[in-house]
Amino acid sequence: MNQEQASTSFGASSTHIHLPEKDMANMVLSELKRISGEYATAALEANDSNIRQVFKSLLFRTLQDQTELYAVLSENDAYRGGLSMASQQDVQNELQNQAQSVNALRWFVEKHLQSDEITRSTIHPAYAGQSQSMQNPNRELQHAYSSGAADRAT
Amino acid sequence: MATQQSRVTSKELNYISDSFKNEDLLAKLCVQGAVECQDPRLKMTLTRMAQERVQNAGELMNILQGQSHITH
Repeated sequence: MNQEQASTSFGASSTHIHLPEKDMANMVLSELKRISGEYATAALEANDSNIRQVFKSLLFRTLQDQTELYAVLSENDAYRGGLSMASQQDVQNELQNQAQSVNALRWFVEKHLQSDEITRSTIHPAYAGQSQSMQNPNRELQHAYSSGAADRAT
Repeated sequence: MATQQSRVTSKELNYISDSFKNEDLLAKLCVQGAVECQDPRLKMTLTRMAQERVQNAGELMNILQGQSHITH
């Protein structure tokens, strides 16, 4: 930036400042993110079902706008430069950690629902097929990993 | 004279009021971006978003108008 441009940008308050496109778009993205949060809170706390529905609609549109604007900006490689991809190893570690937790959660839910007569009769058929995990959750987990690793190897 | 009550809660009214301000600000930001930017796709996206935000404000108006009719 030369001296003349600098004095234009940071000079008297009456000077109109033109933000670079990227900064302007980022500002809109930030606003969309902030407003999404406000609409989500408003929808969750609305007492009237019609008002809740309006807030949900406005939230949905705001999320769509954010997706669309981000897609336009992502076409520019320079904009994507700020994103770093997680390593395959980190993804695998997270998968292992979370798969154990999910399996334990599945086991916990089934165990307690099965122990109650009324809830046992209402368990969804698709869910009932997972009862093996109650007997040996680790075995199912190991099977899921070995098949996943085989898929990746091919 | 007793004050007539609407069916909108004070909390809902606050959220609606904040939403008007949000839509107002975002619409103006989008207009400024649409006018100043050179990228055609970005210009088109921001233009559509600005118009949509005005529609959103209209929906918020509808809530208030619906509530004001209830009191009569």
